[in-house]
Amino acid sequence: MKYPVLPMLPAVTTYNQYLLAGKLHLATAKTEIRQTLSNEHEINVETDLVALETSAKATAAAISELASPKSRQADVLEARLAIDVLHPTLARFPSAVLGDLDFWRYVTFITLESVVISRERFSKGYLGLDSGSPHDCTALSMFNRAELSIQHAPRLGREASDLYALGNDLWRSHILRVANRYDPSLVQALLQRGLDGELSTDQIRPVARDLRARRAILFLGCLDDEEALNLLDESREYIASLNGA
Amino acid sequence: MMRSETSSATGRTTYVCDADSTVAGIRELARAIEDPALVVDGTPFEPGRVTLEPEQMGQTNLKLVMAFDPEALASQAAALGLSLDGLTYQVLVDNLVLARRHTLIAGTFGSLPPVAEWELSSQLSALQSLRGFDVRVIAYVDEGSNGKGSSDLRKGSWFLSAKFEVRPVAAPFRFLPHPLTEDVRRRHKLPREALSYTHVIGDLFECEALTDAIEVYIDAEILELLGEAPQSDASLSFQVMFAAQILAGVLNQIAIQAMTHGGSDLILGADQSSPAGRLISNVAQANSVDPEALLAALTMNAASANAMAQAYLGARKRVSLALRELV
Repeated sequence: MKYPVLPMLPAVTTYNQYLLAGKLHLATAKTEIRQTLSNEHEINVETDLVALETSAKATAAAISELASPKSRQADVLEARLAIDVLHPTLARFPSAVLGDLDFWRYVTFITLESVVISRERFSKGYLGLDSGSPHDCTALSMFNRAELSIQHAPRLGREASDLYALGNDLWRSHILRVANRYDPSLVQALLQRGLDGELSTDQIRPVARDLRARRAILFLGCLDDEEALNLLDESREYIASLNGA
Repeated sequence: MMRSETSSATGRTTYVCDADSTVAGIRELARAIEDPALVVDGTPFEPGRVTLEPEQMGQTNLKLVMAFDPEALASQAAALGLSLDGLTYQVLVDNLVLARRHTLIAGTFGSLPPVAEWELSSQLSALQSLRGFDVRVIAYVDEGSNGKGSSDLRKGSWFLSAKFEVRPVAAPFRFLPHPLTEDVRRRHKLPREALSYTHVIGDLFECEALTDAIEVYIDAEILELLGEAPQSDASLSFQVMFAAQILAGVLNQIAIQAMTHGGSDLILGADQSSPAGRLISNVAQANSVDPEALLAALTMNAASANAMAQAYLGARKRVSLALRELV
């Protein structure tokens, strides 16, 4: 199956032009076509990506009407795009495509250009140019966040968009960038306490550090939902005790 | 207190506690298991980095071998009030791009033969990724301690965690190169014909990511030409040589800054939590040396940094491929 990609260097060239000229023209980046090893997937990539781009433009237009592109309303609009369109479209693509960061950079620069600009996501990480933090790439981050939101919404009895729109800090620093993303029960526990309003940025950073320390001696992947929630609460109480609360 | 120890050379982590007899018993559990091996197209690899050519990714014959001493493990388990059926192993594959973990194999040691071999290839075909994947073998206590109790021994306490980092030959650029323009040359007092420049703008041990503390420049025209056909052998060859030069500069800066941070003991502390510590650890592991030895080599002989960086990035293979194209 053929699919479009944007390798790092042409993307860097486009980004550097932005730094020099001050205006971002993502869609002018020099893209390429790559082929998967197998051809069994009958997917019309071009049609799918054009449809996604059209939806993205509608979302971007709605975000532009808001007072702030970083408001919760903007988060909810992005959530609807990610959950209703982006994830269902791209989840059908072969794993070889979804495992190619150059593909996610293409989707970010070309397909989601309007969203990136409307949400003012101009940093290297958001554009998939920081190899140290690949999970910050806008399209990939939207996909992973939507996937986990859809997965956990039924058990938490909430809309997937409610989970998606929980704080960026919770998602980026404590789920998507770190090993916690591999442990469904722990993700669910973090989202549960996030919904409960019990994981503010101030609280979660020390808790996240404590969880990382516990991971050094415990395999958190074997915990069921209740055990993971208990572990998270134990960690929160431990941190609170350190703070004299 | 319990703590874990990760061998920088093998990537294998073991569970250590000398103060508590129960947890010391867990350490003995680990000794009853040999290091698992990942066999790639017939070649066995110890836990750690397994580097493949990009075209091998997803098309490689992979087999995992794990051996243990049933009597020794049963004896140590009994000392902890556990049975072999209460000790579980799992073989996991982590997708590096998506938030997906796949459990390939799972069971208890009670039903495991002394030497187990598992074919992974068929199950991995759906996981092929150009970026690579991690194969992890983990063995842990799957029930709370009911014997010579220690509150530390709880479900999930692991006694073996071995990770194989299966990666394609390293993608050249870890750091985003900026164009080396006349303005940049003037600002940093660089000669007109300078080709590249690495500028360290912060503390490599305190920054959140190395990319926050390092600015990399490549001549503007050259950078654009590299991006014209980025996947060609010629471009990849130049990219990897630039990347090695840049990485060597970063390694030397780490060695210099290390001296002001209290030396290698502090930097390479238990959690290797600083970006600089992690980079040193990764480069050392890939080159089969201890992080301490790598830092010492960098301090004693700055020129060794380039050799270490070239080996880490697989420069020899890339250059060889490009030159063969010319023959």
